[in-house]
Amino acid sequence: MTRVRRPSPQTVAVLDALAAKASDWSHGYDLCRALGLKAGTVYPILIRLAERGFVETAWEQDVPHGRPPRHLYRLSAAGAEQVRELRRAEAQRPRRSRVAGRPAPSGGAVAGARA
Amino acid sequence: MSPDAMPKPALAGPVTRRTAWIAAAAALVVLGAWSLVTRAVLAADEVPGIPPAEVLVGALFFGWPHAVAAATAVVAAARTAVGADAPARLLALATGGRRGRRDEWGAAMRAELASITAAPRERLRFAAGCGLTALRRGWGRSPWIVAATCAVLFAALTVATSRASLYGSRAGSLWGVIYGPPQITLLLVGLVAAWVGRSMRTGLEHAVAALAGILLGVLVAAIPEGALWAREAGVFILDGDAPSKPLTAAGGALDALQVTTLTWGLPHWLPWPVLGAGVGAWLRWRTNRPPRATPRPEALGSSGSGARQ
Repeated sequence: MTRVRRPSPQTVAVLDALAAKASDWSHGYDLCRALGLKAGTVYPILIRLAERGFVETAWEQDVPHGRPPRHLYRLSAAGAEQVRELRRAEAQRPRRSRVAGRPAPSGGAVAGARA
Repeated sequence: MSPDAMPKPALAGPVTRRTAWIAAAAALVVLGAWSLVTRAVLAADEVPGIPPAEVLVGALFFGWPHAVAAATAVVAAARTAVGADAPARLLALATGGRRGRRDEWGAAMRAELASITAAPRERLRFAAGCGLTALRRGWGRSPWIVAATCAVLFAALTVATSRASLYGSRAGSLWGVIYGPPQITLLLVGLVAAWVGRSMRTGLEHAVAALAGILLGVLVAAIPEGALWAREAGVFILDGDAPSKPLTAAGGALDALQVTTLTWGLPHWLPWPVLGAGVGAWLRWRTNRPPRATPRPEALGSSGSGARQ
């Protein structure tokens, strides 16, 4: 069985946020605000996920006059599969945190990794 | 939704009169600093009665590359840092002049910043985060190859000239290695990379990598060679001069380190990546510039506002 390398909690949070919007597109700044993360954290993650094919990108089409089109992000099929894989892996893990020995927080497997 | 076809925001801004004045002021400040350094060096060497005019000539001789590089850097930064406010200019400076996917992500960050209407502090925080991301993103493989090549070549050159001189004229060898060849190499690397990459930033990245490689290569070879010169000949590797007191191997090694990093090496190499990249980008622009009939950006009457982004 292939071992899935566990991404950082911030990467999991970004994947989780994109998975929550299904096929809808997200903006970079909105992701920063929704997750409470800085742009210097979210953009490297988006770049890496896009390079690995987990995130699709596109440019906004209907742009109000006076500002440039924004870049849009959503999970690709491979990204959605990665999220499912992470959730499966999380479900199989012992219900205690490896680091602090504390019980893992409740909620979805991916959401729980955010804590 | 459309495929991911990137819009092309215009980044190049005009060189205004204000920019030209700031560039000239930067060059003068650098020359002034070189005059002070020259005076201090002469005073430390106890050279009596050097007229100020000769100090100035010395500063011009050694400091002109730094002055031209400072002016070039000011002009390049002013052309790149185009935006409506400080965060936009900061982000444009950090993301401008890149190629391919890295240029695309820079455009994405700039567009996202343009859509943020929150408080200036929030815009600045977003721009700083994105700017750091852009600066931290890898430079690609080619600068590493350039750095490794320069390190190997300069280490070999240092050892070869050192041994040839030590077992020949004993006239010293390091000065000929660290003053001249690195400057020429950095100029050429910056020029060629900027020309091929069609970007001053690309030239700068490759030339800075070359500078790091040269420094590493010279140090790795010169420090043990300096110790060897002290043991075998009792003189400095730089120029074959004998010290007033007997020279130990550690003293010889330390002298090689000092002249490479503090006096004759690194301080004189620093401006050449900027000069090489600047010349390469300028030559590329001269070659590719549109015919006369096409209005130039300066002629469009824009003062470089961020609205064009």
